[in-house]
Amino acid sequence: MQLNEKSRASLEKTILTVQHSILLKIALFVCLIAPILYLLLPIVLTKSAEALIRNDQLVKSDVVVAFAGDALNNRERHAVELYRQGWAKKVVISGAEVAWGIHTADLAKRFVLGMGVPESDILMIRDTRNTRTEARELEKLMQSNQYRSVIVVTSAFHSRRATYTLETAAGDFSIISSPVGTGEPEWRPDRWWSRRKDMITTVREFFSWANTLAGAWQ
Amino acid sequence: MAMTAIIFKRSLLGLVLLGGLTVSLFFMTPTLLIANSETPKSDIIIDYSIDWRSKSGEYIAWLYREGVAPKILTASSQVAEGAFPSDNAREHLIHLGVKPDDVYSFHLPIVGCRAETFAVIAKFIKSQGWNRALIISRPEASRYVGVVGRRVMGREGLEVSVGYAPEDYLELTSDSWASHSKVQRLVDESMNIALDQFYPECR
Repeated sequence: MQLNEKSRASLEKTILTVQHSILLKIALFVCLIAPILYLLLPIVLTKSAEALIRNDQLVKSDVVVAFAGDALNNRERHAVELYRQGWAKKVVISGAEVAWGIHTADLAKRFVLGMGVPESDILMIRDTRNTRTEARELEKLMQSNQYRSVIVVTSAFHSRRATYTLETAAGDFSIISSPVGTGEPEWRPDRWWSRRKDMITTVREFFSWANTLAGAWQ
Repeated sequence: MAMTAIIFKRSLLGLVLLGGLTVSLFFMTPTLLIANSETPKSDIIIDYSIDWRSKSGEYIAWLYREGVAPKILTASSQVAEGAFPSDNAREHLIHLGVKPDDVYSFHLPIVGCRAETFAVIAKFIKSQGWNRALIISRPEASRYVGVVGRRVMGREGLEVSVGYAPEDYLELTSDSWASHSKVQRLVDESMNIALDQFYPECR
């Protein structure tokens, strides 16, 4: 009887020691790792956002395309700048109907004409619902005009996915990325989580990447 | 070894329960996001669902004809320099029979979130002497629009109700998980709600 009680007590003591030892290890782990994570996390998050950006060395190309979706027209502005500097011979603009009588491609064309680009140097892609349809329509336009090279202008956060999608749709073209610069009022990758509008943009872009890579359904 | 097995089983059970909860929440999203549609008598109807694919314009015109509110406000920020869909929504409502003097197009600044938008709208509504606003939104935004609208606009002393077009509701809830664009709308709205909680200016 005494032996059994002793054995039981000894076993209980061993279990408690082991449990405490595990808890101690967990506590030590958390105390060591938590500060490292606290210091590293902002760097990791910023680097993740910077990875969304693709900015290539400029090469003279047949066309420069301003992807749709910029309410401030900064994409069109940058595309026209590249056209003026002689990097491309034509400007391609795109858009979709957003309200009765408003087609953003028409608005983009009006903007580009207002910046002095001759109408003969403006090409349009209409009814682009998302990046994938935009890439497909651009590929068709380039094939029909026998263009082989394009400079892609879009927002910085969108640049890598836009060029990836275009390369998937039209791998034999030369595709150069020249995104709109970062900084207010545009998206900024540094500490993006501290600003609501940059947070939603970045998170949405990560989701869109997952969607793109999964070859999402239409 | 026995302890490892216990920990493993409990972890597995926890993961299965979490997975089940996540999947359930995923399919319950329309129910969680969509509130009951309201149509009380109001001073102004706010068209917060400007989209040519939506039937909100027709619904708002019908509410106006039924005398739910004597005035309508279409509100949007720009989609390109100088281009505001609220202007076109106003024209559309006039085309549907609303008197031009009874519908206003309000140009919103580009702001970060719904609360900031409603703060701007609330100031305008208050300045016009209106006190009761009926917001017509997309169905998936209705519950959160109600929460934020009442909180933000309530600070200006406004009474807020939220409704949506029945056709928009039917369109969204029919096979919502079979359509990429519908899933995108539901996920977008869920994401917006979650992210707003982290920013004081958006709560």
